[in-house]
Amino acid sequence: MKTEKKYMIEFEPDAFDRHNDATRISSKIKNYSKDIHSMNILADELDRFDDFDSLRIPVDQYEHKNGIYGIVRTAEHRSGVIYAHQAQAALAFIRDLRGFGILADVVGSGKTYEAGVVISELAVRNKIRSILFVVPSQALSDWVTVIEQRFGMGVGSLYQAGERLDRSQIQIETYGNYRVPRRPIIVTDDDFVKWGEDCTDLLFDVIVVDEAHHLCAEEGKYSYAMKILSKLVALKRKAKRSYCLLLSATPHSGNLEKMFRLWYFVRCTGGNPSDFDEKEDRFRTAYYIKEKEYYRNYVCKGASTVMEFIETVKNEEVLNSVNKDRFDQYLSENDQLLEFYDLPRGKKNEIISGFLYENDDICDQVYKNVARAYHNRVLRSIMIRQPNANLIAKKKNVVNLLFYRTPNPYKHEIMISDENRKLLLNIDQYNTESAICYDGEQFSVDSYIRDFAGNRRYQDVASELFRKTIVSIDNIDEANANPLFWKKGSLHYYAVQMKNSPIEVKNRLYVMDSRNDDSFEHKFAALEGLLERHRDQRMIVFFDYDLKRKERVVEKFVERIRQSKFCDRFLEGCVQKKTEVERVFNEKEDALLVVTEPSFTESVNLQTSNIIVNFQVIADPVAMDQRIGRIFRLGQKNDVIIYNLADMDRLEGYSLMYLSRIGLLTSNSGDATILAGSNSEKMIAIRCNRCGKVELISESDYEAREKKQQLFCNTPDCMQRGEVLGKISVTDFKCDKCGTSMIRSDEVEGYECVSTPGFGNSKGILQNNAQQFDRNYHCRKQCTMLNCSKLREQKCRVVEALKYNFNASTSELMVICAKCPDKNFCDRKCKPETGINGCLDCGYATCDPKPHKLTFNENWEAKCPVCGRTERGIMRPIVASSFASYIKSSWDFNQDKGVSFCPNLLKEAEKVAEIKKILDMDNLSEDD
Amino acid sequence: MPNISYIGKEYESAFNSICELYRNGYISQGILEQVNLSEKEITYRDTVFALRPYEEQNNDLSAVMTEKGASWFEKIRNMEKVDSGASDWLALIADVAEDYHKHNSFLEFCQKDHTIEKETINRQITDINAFLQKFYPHLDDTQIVVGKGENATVDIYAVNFLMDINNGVGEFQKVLGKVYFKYMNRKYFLLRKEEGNEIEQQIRAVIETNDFENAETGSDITRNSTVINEVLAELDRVIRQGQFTEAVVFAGEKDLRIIEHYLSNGPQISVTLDCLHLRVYAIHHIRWTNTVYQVERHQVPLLYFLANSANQLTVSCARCREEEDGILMVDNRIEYEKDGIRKSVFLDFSRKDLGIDEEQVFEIQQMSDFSKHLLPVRCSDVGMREHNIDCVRYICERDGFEYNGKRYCRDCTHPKIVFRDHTGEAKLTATMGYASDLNSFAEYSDLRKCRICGRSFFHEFESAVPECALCGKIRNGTVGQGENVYAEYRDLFSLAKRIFVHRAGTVAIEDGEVVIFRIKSFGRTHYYIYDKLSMLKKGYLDGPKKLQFFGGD
Repeated sequence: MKTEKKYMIEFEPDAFDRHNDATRISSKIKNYSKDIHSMNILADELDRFDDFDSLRIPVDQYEHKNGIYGIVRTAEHRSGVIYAHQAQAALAFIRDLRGFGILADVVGSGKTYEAGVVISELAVRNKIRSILFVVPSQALSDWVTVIEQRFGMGVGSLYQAGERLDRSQIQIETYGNYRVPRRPIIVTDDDFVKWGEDCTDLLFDVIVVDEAHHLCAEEGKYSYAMKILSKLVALKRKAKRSYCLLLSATPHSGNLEKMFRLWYFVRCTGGNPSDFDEKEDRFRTAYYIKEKEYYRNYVCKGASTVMEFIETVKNEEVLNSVNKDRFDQYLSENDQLLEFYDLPRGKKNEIISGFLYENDDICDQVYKNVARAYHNRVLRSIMIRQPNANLIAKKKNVVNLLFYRTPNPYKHEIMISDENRKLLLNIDQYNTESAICYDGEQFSVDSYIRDFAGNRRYQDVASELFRKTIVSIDNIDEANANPLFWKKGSLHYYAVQMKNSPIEVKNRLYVMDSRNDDSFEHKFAALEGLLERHRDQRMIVFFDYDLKRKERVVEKFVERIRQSKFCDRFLEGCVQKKTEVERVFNEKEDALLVVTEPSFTESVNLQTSNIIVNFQVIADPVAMDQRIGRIFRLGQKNDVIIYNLADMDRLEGYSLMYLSRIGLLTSNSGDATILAGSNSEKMIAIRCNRCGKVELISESDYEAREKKQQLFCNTPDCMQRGEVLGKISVTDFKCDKCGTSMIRSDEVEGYECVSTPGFGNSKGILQNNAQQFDRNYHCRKQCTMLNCSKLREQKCRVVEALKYNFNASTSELMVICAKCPDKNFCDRKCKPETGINGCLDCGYATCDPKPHKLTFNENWEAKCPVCGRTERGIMRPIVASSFASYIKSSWDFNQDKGVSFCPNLLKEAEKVAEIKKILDMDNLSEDD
Repeated sequence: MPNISYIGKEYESAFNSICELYRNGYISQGILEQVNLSEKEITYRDTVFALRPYEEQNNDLSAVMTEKGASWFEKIRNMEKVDSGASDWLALIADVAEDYHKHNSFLEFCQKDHTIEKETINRQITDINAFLQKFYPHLDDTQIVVGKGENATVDIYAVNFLMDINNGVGEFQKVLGKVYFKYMNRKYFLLRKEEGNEIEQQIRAVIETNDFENAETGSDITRNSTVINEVLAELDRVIRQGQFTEAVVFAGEKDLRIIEHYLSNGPQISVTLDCLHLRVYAIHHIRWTNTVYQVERHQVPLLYFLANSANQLTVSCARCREEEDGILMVDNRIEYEKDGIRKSVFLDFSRKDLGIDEEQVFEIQQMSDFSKHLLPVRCSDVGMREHNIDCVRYICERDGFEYNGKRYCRDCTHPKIVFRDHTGEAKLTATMGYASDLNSFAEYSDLRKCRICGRSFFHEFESAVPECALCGKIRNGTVGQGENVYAEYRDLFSLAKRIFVHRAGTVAIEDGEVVIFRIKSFGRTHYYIYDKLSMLKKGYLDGPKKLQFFGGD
């Protein structure tokens, strides 16, 4: 046996009946013979016969034939209503996992159907007396339809339980010591948590939990849900009815550490319920702690994120294997042999990456081993997860519309060379069929590459043409950084990212006049072109909602679209009318849905469309993934097209190329979640307080460098002064006692007030005096006046004005106040110009807590306005750890004249692209 | 009209197995209604199972989507009781397998030729020396003789069973396994999985070379039914005492893979597998020849070593091997009890220290059966008389005794017996004499010889007129009921003597050994003693003897 693991076989009390068995043994002894030998082999086959070794129900039995039951066969179902990969997953689940584990095929693979097949197979073997489905609320109706109708459990057979389990509805029967609800139950995860532990006396033969990755949470309702589930499984274990299906396309989002709870639950057969309580690890059982230690140190190799895991295994493969000699040779050739082993981890990784870059053969093997370690030994150790290539998932096509600013916008034609071919490039027609003229024939850029690329990759040629086009437009000296971009090395950056982007990404160049700073018009014109092209198709348009007010274009866009010829197609996407919007959108075949609120990018099903347009690209990979997720989901019948419009000299251009390069826009949703999380989970963005230089490093690296006091800023000036890099942490705050959050909004240039408004619905804003490091934040006078009961009663004219325009400026209000005929009407402290000091503990203030001033200390800590007095809560900074914070801060950093931005971003992209490469290699067996 | 149930490709293998067993006549009549091998149809109970390609299968009514919904959800939909019984197909498989095993459940195997390489012998001798060095460092002048002494053949029984196991959750899996027992000294010894696996390997080697025709049926067929019950009882004991895991040998690659899967996907600390059912379906027997070694000293055998196929040693005391405690170590494992807790130590001969520390060695020597065998005796009593050297022997506990912290041999040519005197103190009889008053032994120094009866009696201090209590009484005349005693024994005297006895003052007193008479006759007093035991010696009555000490006739 390979595993030298301790094990113990325990017997049920009546497992062995020797008296009965004695009657089955013949006392006549026979010599072992050839005949008996061959017959024994046959008898052994019968003895070992495993009823769970194959699917009993032929997959075509699920097909709709008549009536309302069954899965309706469509053109997509070429080989049957249950796809081969779905049948395989279901079979693997019952045969290998024996009905207890995680089904984790990627989004779009139809896990609900896989679960349906598993349940049907258990039912046909008489293994189900009772069943419980725990599903997200938005998926409830889908589940009911799938199980009741498509898999034929029967309409109305599922009892849809609410937040209280009505036992009179579920027909509880007693079997021995167990209470078994005879009616199948379905409940949303929110309501399931509210059942509490009252339900843990019920025995469910089968439990199905959808979106099980939520159960990884260490606190909150999902943590509690895990505890209840663990208790239910403990009862099932006792009763020997322990089937449990956990479904998740994204068992983790880049953070392997968080997946431990699922690991523990599955590996330890439901785990110990008390271990899922909210408490520190040291209060959990030794069993839990040991398993966690093993998981962390051996399964995850000490890494807490996928990125760290890949780096660790990669390094192990180079340093601890047959490659070591070659690596040492490489080090000595580069004079690094002596110092290498003393270098910090980050530096070591760089050198190892360099070594692999130069040694293709080793690199290939190392990546394969890393991929095996990740897919087979981490993921598949607890779940059925089939290679992506085996699954049916629609393709994502990405078209990037890049708007390039040039002082030479009127250059219509340029000559460029490509492998000794002189091409005449028509700038005006760059994105049409007559972009390139060669040898008297006209080609689009794509068709030229197709015809003339030869052995070269598409991306290589496209990137080269792109670079040469820009160089020719502006006659740039390539040896120097492009002076036309704000950041140095931008042209190289764009070219490299394009070259390394997936083939599904196509880039289109739009030239605009650099003297006209507003890219809106160019973008809008391009969008009109797209609307024209997809005139009969539904489209969704997204924007950057987190920009400062003056940079926001959504309102302007809405206004323009209303005035355009496409106004009939216009539909505004706002949360208040979500259901209605969804309905209309699904009915209207050429709808143009303009999403005006960021919250509309979550929990909305818009898969009737297959086209989205990012009118503005955002730097947050998670948010970008969510936008795509609106249409790239189960039920999508077509390939998806994603148009991204970005100004090349703005952050959005760089972000877009980064996101394209790492494959976030083109990969399946499960991988995209991991990619998006790769530079957010367990990462820390650090910044020099003096020069503003930014770095993104892992938490463990941060801790190691902090311990060794190596967190110095290395810009020359700062290095001399010994400036230390600190966490970027001055934007958002959270109370350590009551959890009240203050999230900065660039739109309002401040924080939404934490008070409950006493009057009206308008939320107040907490602001400082607009200086960068001002640590005093206070309510606005406008808000305090609106929430003053005395002024309201006396019908103060200023308050009346504020009711109409909450954002009226102080000077406007002062004018109204000055014109007030009743000079004795109010105190001086009430007047608009007097600030809020008088309101802080005024009895007339109706908001709760009362108007407040927050003064942050040198550590950016302040007394919580909600619970500071009673609970002594402190508002503390939330560490900005995401890639989005990093890239924004990095963009703002210009102390180095923009030299480091592009190289750093390229390096960052390379790291994440490495993850993508590993994620793609998910079909390697251990023997390959 | 029987139902027709179509069997697809996924069940083809099991279907063919049944057909093949049937074709070879290994299925009893009555199990199957009918088998049509050409049509690939088996009729069992009311169902005809027909093996057909999927395209040829007509509507299988067991799983269909009807207008009311899926047939497999019918009971759930109607909230009816779910029948936990297996389907007919599973019942068919189970019945056929059970029937086959019933008639082929007690099988005799043969061992592969027992030839052993010199290298192995050297290795085993090295292990034996390491063992002696560890536990009998004082043992000198020993010699290891290969192949001498103990009968090297033992009976091995393999109990074959089918288990339903899982890791606590999910559907149970069927796993075939065996537990091996060794029958020695009328006792069954559980074989650990290491040796079990070795035997299994060898049996497989025999099977692979088709060399199993040499097997001879068990030597003691009359014991078969007893063996079945005994072996199953042993298995039951093994399960109850929690020893099963360390002995189970999985039958095939498939079974091992299942266990491996559970282990590699289970908790890291320790995996607990649950066994829902264990059904014994066969017992295999094999006469197993081991390599045997005898450790002797001056041609006296001390220990026997049996080396099994896994190079594990079983050690028994040469003298007590037939006794219950005569086996000191079985397959490298020594068991003993400490503070009421059963302990088991496994010797690892690949390690210099055999994998045990000094404390364990001490415990084994003191608390296991080791403490009862090969106990050193060094005695100067014999040696001094003969060659002026000590007599050194190694004896078992039952062959010796201890006195004053020193061990003596029971079969010593100079016998010494330990005796506990009236004080309860243990003393050697060599220093003791019989004290008639105590009816026991006492130290010579505490014995005095009675001047009247001549017997030794217990008296700590020297006396000028030593008299035993009996004689003292009769001399002093303090004899109650003495006349009656005299009356009882007077017939021992001749009639003439009796006539002239003066009745007054004539008395007798007795104890278990003697009767002492005080006879008054003609004004003189005479004392006689009658030895009760003399009757036994001579076979007839001898008269009382006059005690000369007091004078008289």
